[in-house]
Amino acid sequence: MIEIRDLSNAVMKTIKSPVQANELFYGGTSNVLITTSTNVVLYDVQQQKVLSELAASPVKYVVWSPDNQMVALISKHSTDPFAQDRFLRV
Amino acid sequence: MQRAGHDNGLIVFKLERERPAFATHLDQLYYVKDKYVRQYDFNTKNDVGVLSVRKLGSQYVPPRTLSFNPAERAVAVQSTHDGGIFDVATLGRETAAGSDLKDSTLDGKRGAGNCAIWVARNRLVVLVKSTQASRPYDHSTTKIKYFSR
Repeated sequence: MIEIRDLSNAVMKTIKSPVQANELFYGGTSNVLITTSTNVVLYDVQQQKVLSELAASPVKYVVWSPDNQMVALISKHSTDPFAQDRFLRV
Repeated sequence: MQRAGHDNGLIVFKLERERPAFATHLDQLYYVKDKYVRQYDFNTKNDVGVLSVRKLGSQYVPPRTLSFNPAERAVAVQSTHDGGIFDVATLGRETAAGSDLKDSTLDGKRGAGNCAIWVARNRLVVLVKSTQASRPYDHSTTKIKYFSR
């Protein structure tokens, strides 16, 4: 279950997660990256839509480049860099 | 760090995550150290405490993630304690008389959840896992088997 809250921490909306979520990470404005044990999903919480999906081992950290064009998915044994446009195309 | 030796090998346990909860914005690094959110400036190397998270979760478990909201100078700090809790609070500002250090428990708001991330000025996304609770159970049973061997 995913909750959208405002600044005063009041729940504005509740969404059912499209996948069995392990963790959430920042995915750009209005987007989150949802990690599962096998995949990473880029999800738009505003439109409640899966934008794209990638296969990746369980992700521990996510690092965005300053211009938000590249993202590194860091898991226990590997670090995978992805361009955001490639992420969106998958 | 704890180590346990055995004829068949060696296991290393880490009691704490080595990488603290942190977030960066422009030239500022926000991170959690000794139960305080601190702000570090990469250019001036100025390092100040901006928020106390003393009463968030257990005394011995440091918060796991920190998400920074630059538009409101607010943070969401999350701890795995008690099935996942987080505090949302705005950071204190440095004044001439010294910084007004806030406490996330007194000045912020608390919620339950496993991840709390800002995605827009007025939007915090929270993952609540309590509704999908089958996995941790499997995990602990496999661990018990391993240790009793």
